[in-house]
Amino acid sequence: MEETEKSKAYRGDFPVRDENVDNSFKYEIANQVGGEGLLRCLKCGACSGGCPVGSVIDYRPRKVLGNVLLGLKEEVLSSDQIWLCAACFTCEERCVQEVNFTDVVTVLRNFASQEGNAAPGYVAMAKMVMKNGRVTARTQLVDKMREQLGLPPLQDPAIEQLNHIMNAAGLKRVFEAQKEREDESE
Amino acid sequence: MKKILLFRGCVVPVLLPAYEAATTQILERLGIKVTVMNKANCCGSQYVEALNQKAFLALNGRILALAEAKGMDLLALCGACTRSLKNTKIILDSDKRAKTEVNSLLKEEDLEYTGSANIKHLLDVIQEDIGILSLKKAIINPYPGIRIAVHYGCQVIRPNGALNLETSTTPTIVDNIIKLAGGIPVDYEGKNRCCGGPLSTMDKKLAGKIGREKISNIRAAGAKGIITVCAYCDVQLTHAQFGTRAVKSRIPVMTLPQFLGPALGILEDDLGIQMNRISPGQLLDTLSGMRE
Repeated sequence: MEETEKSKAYRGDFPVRDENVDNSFKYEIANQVGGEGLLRCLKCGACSGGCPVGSVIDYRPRKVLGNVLLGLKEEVLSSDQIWLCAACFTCEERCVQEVNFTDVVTVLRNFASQEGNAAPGYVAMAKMVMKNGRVTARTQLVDKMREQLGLPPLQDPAIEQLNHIMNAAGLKRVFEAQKEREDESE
Repeated sequence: MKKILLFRGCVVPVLLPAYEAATTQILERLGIKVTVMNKANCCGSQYVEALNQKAFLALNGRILALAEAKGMDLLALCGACTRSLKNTKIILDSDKRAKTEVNSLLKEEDLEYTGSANIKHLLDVIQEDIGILSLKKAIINPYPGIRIAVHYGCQVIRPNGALNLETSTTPTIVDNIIKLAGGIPVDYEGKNRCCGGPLSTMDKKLAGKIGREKISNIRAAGAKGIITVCAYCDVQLTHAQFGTRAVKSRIPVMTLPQFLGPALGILEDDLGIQMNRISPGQLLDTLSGMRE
């Protein structure tokens, strides 16, 4: 029982058991756009060394990569860790193997989202984009400021086209998966 | 006169309209006509990207296809938009499957991505289309040696190679521009580090902590102002100076065109300086002949 409680936390538990390992996981990731560099990782740790998030909290890109390469699929996809990358690309710049950690993280987030494990904050923002056409909300004050500056009115954010594209690409399925996961946990 | 198509994005026109106004002002002063792109969608950076990359590529593909239909290059002001559009172009130009998928999603609107439009950040336009020498000639009212810190913004300078600037590990372009405008560019610890902004979705405290660390490093270097070239960073570095643990004296945060404008002889009102949350009044008072 203790193990399930720890599933969201960072793995420090060894040994890793066979039943937790999915051998094909790393290939699934490497087959996606952005995941190509994963199999080149030497686990040298240059990514962790330069990580601005890691300088403040216990967050290590190398450990995320290590867990993916090891095949700890469920643990990686249900963990908060993949949602903490700030996408600053410092690790991409420093990586001698061109693993492109930030891009690998995007693939991992996509996988987690399909299973209903997207971070709630991200889901809320994506929904806001669908509703408002932007991540910010238009107010009368904004309209007034723009007028004062002699700027044209806010652009038509093309919500209809945007929603069409997002749904056709499969975003609706992600929201559904998220909802199912929430219902399950209730 | 050269022309460029401005993709405004979400954050700039709503949270930072002064950045948009100041950019238009300085570019027109420097010989580039800015046309505003309408009916463009959000680029979906970070949020849509994380949930579904296919949707993200299609959203950016649509913006690029709209620019192609106009036959113009795109100007982006925000780091996130710039990186999303540039990255999408790299993927779509090299991955046929991704390009076909995106084009099938755009077909309904009769749009097609072919790859003919270029994406430029404001810095790319200054470097490539205006040129540092022309900028130098246009400075008519230089600052008298005031200490200024630049925060480049991660997605403006990285990932390496996606940006048109010559190098990204230690960018110098804004430092050089500050020098041209009469300022003294200062180095500080963690200069190319993240502002913490993207983390606010996950953990506001964490984002604030990273932002405040940046501010304290800038303060330690004795800078009187912070220059940004990304809307997200500008909002974050300003926001980090407010709240319960706020510092007594705040360092004004300005976008690059707001800083350059007065040196080019553009009036403060046209640059929206009165709308800045932390007034850069003291910094601008050092300029001769501009203020009443």
